[in-house]
Amino acid sequence: MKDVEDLLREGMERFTKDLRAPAGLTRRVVRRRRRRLALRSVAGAATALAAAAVALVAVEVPGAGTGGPAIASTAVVKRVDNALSAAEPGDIAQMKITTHSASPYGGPAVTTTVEEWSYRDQWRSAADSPTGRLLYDEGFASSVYTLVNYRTRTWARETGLGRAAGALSGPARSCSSPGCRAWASRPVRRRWRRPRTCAPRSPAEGWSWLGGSASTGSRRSS
Amino acid sequence: MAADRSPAELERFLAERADHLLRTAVLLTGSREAGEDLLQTAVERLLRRWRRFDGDPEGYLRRTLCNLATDGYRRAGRWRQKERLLQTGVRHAPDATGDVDLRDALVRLLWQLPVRQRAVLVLRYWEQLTDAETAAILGCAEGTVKSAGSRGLARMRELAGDWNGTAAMCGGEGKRS
Repeated sequence: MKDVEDLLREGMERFTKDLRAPAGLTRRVVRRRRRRLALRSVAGAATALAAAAVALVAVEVPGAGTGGPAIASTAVVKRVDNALSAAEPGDIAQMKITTHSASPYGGPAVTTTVEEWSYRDQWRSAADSPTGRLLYDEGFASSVYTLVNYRTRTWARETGLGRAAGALSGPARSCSSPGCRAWASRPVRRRWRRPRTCAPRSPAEGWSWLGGSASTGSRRSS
Repeated sequence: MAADRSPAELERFLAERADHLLRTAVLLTGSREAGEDLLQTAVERLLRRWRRFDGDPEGYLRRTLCNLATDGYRRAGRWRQKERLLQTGVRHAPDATGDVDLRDALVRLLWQLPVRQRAVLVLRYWEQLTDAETAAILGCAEGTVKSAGSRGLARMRELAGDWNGTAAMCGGEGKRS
């Protein structure tokens, strides 16, 4: 009778003799690492998005606009855009979320599609209406959060999330200039432009709309 | 000066040694799927520092495999525990000799041992390492390795004793009730 140590050794040899490592192990590992990084990035973006929404809902919006020039917001978001264009595909995380939810203001259920991208500490999110019209665009870069609400034609910017709303600013909600009308009625294009004719005013309506954002599922009934 | 290794070098190394490392990983985890997963995780860690890696990649991978396994790699797998329990009663068709069945049974019992004992037995009897080398890989004292190995083997001997007794009663076919 053989000793148990020999039997164990033979058992291990016998049990694993047909095992072969999968072909292209290195490539598999590289793909797996990319997936892991992308998932981590998406998770980070989702957390940032939720944090941004919570912070924005908590912000008290002043009655009158006090903002800086409108070009500042588009410049910030543009920076995110540029970073996304320049980044390596493996570093970018992208996801699309379609949400069906009851309208916070009553009425039929709303279907919203939100597309998000993230790259390192920057992220951008764009939401479309059921008809495919761009509703809002958000971006976060260099601790500056920017929101453009296409529906109400307002925009806002917050430097350092959760701070007081003094830095918020936005264009008029009901600008009747020809430039604004043309801009509002044009087909959806992911471009970061807004008419220069709009003067900064309160983005209050924009915030309340954001409270019902599909990507966070939160509600605000202001 | 740190080495500047190319990815092709890693591929060559894995082409030569990945089979053996996979076998080690399977013995540590108890299934092919979990073994592959463990090996991929270890290779991923090596890949992260491959460019500047200066040392024995096989030793590094072996150590990483053991660390991942003993640190409770995917310990959340309660299902795996249940699966092991389910597998206990399952046996392959007996071979011509009782010894062959006993070998299978010993390997299956190996996966029911505590992970530290299992790692010690795999390193000592599969990787053919000494107690000192095993202790260095597991990051523990040599005495700990000896006691863990001794306890693991004692459990194996119990099984082998039971097995021989039953085999004798069944006319040497090695069947167990």
